[in-house]
Amino acid sequence: MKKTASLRWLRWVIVLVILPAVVYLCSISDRKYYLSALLVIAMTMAVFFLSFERRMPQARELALLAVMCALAVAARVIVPFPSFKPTMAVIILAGMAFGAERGFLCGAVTALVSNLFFSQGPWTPWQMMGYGMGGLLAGLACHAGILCRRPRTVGQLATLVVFGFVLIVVVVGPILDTSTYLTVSMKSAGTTAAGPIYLTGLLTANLPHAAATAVTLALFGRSLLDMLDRIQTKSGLLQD
Amino acid sequence: MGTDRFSSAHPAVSFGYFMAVILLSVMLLHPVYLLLSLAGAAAYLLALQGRRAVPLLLGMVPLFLVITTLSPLLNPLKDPQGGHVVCTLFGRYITWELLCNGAMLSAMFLAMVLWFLCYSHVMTGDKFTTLFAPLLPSLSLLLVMVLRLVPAYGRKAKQIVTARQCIGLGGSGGKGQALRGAMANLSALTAWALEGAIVTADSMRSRGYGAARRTSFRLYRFSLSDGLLLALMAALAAVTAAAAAAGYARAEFVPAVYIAGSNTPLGAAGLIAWAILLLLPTILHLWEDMTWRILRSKI
Repeated sequence: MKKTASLRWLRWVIVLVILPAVVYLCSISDRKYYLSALLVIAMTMAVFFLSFERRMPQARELALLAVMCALAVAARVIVPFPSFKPTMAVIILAGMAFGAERGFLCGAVTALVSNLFFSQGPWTPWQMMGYGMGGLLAGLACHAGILCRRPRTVGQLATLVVFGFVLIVVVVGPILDTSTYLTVSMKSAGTTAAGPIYLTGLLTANLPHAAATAVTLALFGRSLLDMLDRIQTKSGLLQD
Repeated sequence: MGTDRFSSAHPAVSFGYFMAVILLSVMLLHPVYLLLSLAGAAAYLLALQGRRAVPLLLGMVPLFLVITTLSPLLNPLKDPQGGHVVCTLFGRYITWELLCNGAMLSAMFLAMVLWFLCYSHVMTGDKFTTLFAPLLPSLSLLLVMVLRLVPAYGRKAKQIVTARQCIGLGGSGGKGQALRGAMANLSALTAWALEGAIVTADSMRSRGYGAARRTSFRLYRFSLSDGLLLALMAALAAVTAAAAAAGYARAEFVPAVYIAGSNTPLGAAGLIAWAILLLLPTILHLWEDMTWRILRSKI
């Protein structure tokens, strides 16, 4: 498999050489933080997208990923409260069931499609990155044994719920707030404006988002994981 | 609905145009440049949506004022910045300079919002996938599948809700009850969707998915006029960028007011190129409109 070998090489080059170089150059030259951040996001996503392409995904993998992304978008429509967003919960569960890399893809594609239905904006790449990171970290936590793939006891379920809550407050939400912060701080002064912006983001958007994710995980997490398990044993989807 | 000359151009042309215009609007923080960008976006939105865009555009005015007045509060420094103090608010000095700065910021924000609205109108999902299909075939297919599934799930969800109401579940009760009902609906939808995934995957495999290199259906062909349009756009953007690089699009308000003039040939060329670039879609739209009217009257 010459192709995968060269891709792996490319991946290390991007992560170890190009990313630090971009960050360094942009930070010393003209303080174009926004552009450098966008470049970092684009390259991170390119790594995942290209590795997905090079793997030549089978029909089953494509179909299952498409279903999870569409469910994550449609879940928002099903719940009768407009501000209640169960999307991240579905992405977290997909990341747990299918692994970190597919979790990232699921998150990024979900953000892109959901913006196609609502509206694209300067936040789109940030949202793709944030949701992707959420799926990725859920997959990694599951792999590391922090999260249980088949939560049976109350403790295991509680870990999942707390993990989802913390993930939104600490990772996904701040990534979205950074988009706001960099847009605002482009023309106004200094780093100290960060405090009010991140705090407003936390109170108005991230805490409700985290609560919605936690509630969805508590009520729906076990049954979705069971369904995904069942479908995988039934049809051998994603067995590699 | 978005079927004018500019929207029917090749997706690469539209995508390149919006990326260039949005990126330049964000980077060229100069009152004149920003005003032109706002005017260009508003004109094209009006051309695309007609009278329906008017309330939206009017709604932008209070938004502009609110962001402008609130922005000095984001400034963390307690010392007065700029010489002309308007008032103090929460122990901070609000100066004209800070307000001007805020006005620039909110103008940039609104220009971005308006251009993205035009973008959503012109760059539909099919164009996006057409553009990226040769580069990322599997991912584009994934995107197309998701775009198809989301409305289908919406319809199925409605059926599930109706069915559950028929057996007396859902519809009444408090918020907790409604949430539990929603989760049950989601559960039912998921089970149905996952079964569908197996059927789709088997169907795809039996039709030979993955057996050979994937080709893509091209609805849009890159014609000569697309090439000319792209070249014109690139030239205009290059002139604007050159003027900006030479410092003609710089403006500072804090700590001191500095607004670059455009009184040299390069500065003037940059400003004119920027104006033409921004009005290009609107001009094309009006041109087509006029041609249509003239031809019609001859019949």
